[in-house]
Amino acid sequence: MSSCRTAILSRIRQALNKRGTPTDIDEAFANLTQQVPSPVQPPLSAGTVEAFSRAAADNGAEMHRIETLEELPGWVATRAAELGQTPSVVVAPQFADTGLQWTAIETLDQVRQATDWGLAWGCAGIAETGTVVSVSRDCPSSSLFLVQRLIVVLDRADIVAYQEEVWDRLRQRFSGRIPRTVNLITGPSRTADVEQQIQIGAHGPKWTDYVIVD
Amino acid sequence: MSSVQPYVPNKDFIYRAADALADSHLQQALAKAGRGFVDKRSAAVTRVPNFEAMRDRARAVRQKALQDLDIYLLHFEKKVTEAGGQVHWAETPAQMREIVLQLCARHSATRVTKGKSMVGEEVYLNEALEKAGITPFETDLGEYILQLAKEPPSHIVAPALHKTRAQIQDLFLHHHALGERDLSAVEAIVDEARQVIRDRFLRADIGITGANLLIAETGTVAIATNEGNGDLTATLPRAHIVTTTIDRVVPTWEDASAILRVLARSATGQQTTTYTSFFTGARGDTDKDGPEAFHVVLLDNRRSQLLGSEYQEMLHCIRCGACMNHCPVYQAVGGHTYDSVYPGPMGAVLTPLLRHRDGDYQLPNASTFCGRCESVCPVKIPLPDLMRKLRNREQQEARFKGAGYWITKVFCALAASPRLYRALTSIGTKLAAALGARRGRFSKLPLLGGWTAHRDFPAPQGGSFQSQWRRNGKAQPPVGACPAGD
Repeated sequence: MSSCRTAILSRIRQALNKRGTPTDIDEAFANLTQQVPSPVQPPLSAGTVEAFSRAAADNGAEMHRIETLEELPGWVATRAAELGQTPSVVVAPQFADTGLQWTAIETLDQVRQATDWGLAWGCAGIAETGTVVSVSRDCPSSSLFLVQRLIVVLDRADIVAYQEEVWDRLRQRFSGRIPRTVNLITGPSRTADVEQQIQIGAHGPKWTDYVIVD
Repeated sequence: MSSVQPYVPNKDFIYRAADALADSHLQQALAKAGRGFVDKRSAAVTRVPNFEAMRDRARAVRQKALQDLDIYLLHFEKKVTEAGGQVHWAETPAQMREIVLQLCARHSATRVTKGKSMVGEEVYLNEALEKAGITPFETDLGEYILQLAKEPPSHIVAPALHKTRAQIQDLFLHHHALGERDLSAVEAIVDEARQVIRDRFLRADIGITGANLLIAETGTVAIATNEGNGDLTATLPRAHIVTTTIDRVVPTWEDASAILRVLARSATGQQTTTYTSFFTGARGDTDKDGPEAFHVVLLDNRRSQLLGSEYQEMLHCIRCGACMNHCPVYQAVGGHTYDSVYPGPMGAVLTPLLRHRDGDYQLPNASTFCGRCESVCPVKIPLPDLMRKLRNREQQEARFKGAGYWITKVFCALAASPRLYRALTSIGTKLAAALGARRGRFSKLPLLGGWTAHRDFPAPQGGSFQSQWRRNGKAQPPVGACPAGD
C-alpha cells in the first residue's frame, strides 16, 4: 500500500508546514537528536545495589546473594530442597562456557513442562525499579516466560542506577543491530483483571529469584 | 446457565447512561474498582519527589516526536527494514484489516494469538480474522474474558473492569469443559486461564500485539505488560505482527524512558510494569529465539488530520487510563456507555475526531468539567479545553439546532447587553423569590426536571447578585465567605 504511505506522509508534512523529504534520513534523524536533554530520574533510596535489592523485593522478587559463581549449582539445589521441590531447570546457554557442574539437579536446554524452573544470567540490573535485563542473544526470551520459577543471576558490577545506563551499554555492546528482544523484568508475572485484585502468576513465572554474585 | 448474547449498545448516550446506572452487575463492579486506581496512582506519584518534572519531560518528548513526525516515522521504517522486518501503512481501519489478513495468508496462518491492542479493537480486527476463517485467541486475561462474553473492552488498561468475579466464574464454567471445580477464588480463575491459554501460545502461527511506543532510533517496538502474554505472543509464533498507529513513535531510547517513567505510575500505580519488552525486527542469526518474520502495521485513521490542528495535543496521549480512572462520569456509568474503544475523557475527545459517527459528539458533553482528568494526565493534555472546543464545533456543525443551541444563543445575546441582562435577572429573581417564599425552595421547576428529580432547588433569598453587589458588595468585602482551600 505504497499510496497510503505517500498520502499519510504528505498529510503529515503539510500539517507541519514542511517541504519535501530530506535525502539522507539518517542525517536528518541525527541532527534532530544530537542534543540530549539531561534525564529526569527518581532519586535512589540508597546505594545502587541496596536500592536495586529494595525495589526488586518491593516488586515481588526474592533476593539472594552468593560470593562466587561457582556456588550457583549448589545454591539452586539448596533452593529446590528448601521449597520441597525437585524441578527440572532450563539453564540458559550463557552458562555453557562457565564450566559449572550441575550434578545435583536435572538441567534442560528448553522448557518441557509448566513446572520447570528457568535459570538466566541477566546482562544488567536497574536499581531505579529493581529490574533485570536479558537479551535474546544471550538467552531465549521464551524461557524467561514459560517457566514456573525464574532465577536470574546478576553480577554485582552489572547493576546500574537508571535505565539510560543500560541503553548506553546496549549501544556499546551491539554497535550494529541490537538483539531481536530486550527484556526488562521486574518480579513475577501478575494480573489485576479480576475485580482489580492483584494475583501473582498470570502467564509468566509465578516466582522470581534474583541472585547477586558479589 | 444463560447463553451469551452479543453486546448491542443503544445509539443514544443518555439511554446508555440510564441503562448503566440501572445495571446492578455493572454498578457492583464499578464499586469494587472504586478508588483502587486512584489511590494506587496517588501513592506512586508521592513516592517520587519529582513527578511533576517527569510529567513535563514526558510532555516535551511527545511534543518533540510530533514536531518532526515524518522524519521519525521514516527513520523507524528504515531501521525496521534493516533489522529484517517490514513496515506497512494503512490510512483506514479497512486497509489495516486487509494488510493483516494478507500477512496471515502469506504465513499460512490459521491460529493467531493476540496481545492486548486497542488499535486492534479500533479496527475490529477479530471480526475480520474470524470472517476469514482464522481463529484469534485473545491472551490478555481481561481481553480473553471479554472474548468469551462477546463484549468490547470498557477500559483501555483493565478491559474487563465491568465484570464481576461471579460473572467471570460463570463464563469459565460455561466455556471450559473441565468438569466440576471450584472457581470462587481469583487464584483459581487465573490458574485456569493460564492453563487453557498456554497451549494456544505454543500452537499459534502468528502473534499479533499492539505497541506502547515505537522507537525511531533503532526501529524498535516497546510493549509494557504485567501478565507476560504479550511476550509469549510476540516470541513463540513464526511471525509477529504489530498493529499500531503513527502517533506512537518517539525519537530515542532515552525518550522512551521518559514516557515509561510516567506510564505505569499513572496507569496502575506501579513504578514500572512487570515486563517492558523491546522488539527489533525478526530473529537474527545469533538470537536464541524469536519470530522469523516481523511486521509493523501503522494506522493513520484521521490522526494526521489532528496534527497542526487545535486538537494536536490529543496525539500526546500515552494510553495510561488515568483520566477515566479519575472521571466522575466514567466512575458512574462505566466504559461501555461511551460506545467506543476509547472511553472516559480521552475517548470523549478522540472518538468524535477519529470516528465522526452520529452521536459521537454527545461524548464531549459527558463531562462535569471538574478538571481532574487534566490534573492527572501524565502528559498534561488539556482535556476539558479540548472537550469545550468539540462542544462548540458540534454547535456550529449541527444540521438541526436543538433547544440547547437556542438557549445558549439567547443567553449570549443577553450577556452581551448588561443593562437588559440586569433588568431581566432582577425581575426573574424577584419573581422566583416571591413564588418560593413560603417553602424557601422548589420541588419542581419547568426545564429543570433533571435537577429537581433528585434535589430541591433553593428559592432566591434576596435580590440578584448584581443588585446586592450594588447595594453593599463594594463596602463589605466577603471575608470568610469562601475559606481558602474549600
